[in-house]
Amino acid sequence: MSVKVDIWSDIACPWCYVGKRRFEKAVASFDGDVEIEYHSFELAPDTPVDFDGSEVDFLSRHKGIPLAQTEQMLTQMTELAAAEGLDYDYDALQHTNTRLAHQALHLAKKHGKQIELKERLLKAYFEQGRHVGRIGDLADLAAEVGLDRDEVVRELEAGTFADDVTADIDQAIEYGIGGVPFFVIDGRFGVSGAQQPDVFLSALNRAKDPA
Amino acid sequence: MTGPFELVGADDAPVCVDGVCALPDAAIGDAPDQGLERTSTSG
Repeated sequence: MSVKVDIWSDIACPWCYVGKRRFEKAVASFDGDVEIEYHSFELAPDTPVDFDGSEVDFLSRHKGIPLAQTEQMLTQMTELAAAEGLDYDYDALQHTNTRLAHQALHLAKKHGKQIELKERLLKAYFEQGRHVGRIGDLADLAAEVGLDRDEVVRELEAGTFADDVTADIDQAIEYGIGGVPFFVIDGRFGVSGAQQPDVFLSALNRAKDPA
Repeated sequence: MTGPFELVGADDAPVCVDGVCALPDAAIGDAPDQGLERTSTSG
């Protein structure tokens, strides 16, 4: 019997990618099966799809963080990500709205490819400077993990999974989740943030025990 | 309390909230004179 883990996260979320790696380390050393389901969470839903500017521009102009501080923070985040084996490239990163990406993840879930697409989108966004906010770009990335490109275009244009994204966000609100990543393990244990692997492993082991 | 479950782990683990992502205290501890706060970057 596997342990179910529900994960709320966004694409444009550096700690979500770091947390994903730390969680994966825990799963690798966990003596049991884990079933993972990703849920949508939008950190900046007002971000335009085609944001004109760099990540530094976004943070300094939209969040009011001083330019020098922003640059230093991105450097530090890059170093922290590197410690997890991630190669963040903020110079190439294309800030965008992630609503359609979340819809694509719901389509991928329907085809059993959600985990693969989640990893592909995070890598594309943080490491490869790929755009993850437009239908054509998302369809290209989805096709790379085995989804039918034409279907992705069709379903995103139709907004087939828009309500699923909203439902995930509503569920997060109901749970009181204000930040991501957020992990719910076996419906019994909540883990907030990019915790160290031992925290996830401990929760997984507790979840294996009868309630 | 968040949700119908038991919260486990450190209270100050890094998260992103409203497009702003906190850096852990340890990561900014070396630069207190540069006005860094415990809030920083988004994706």
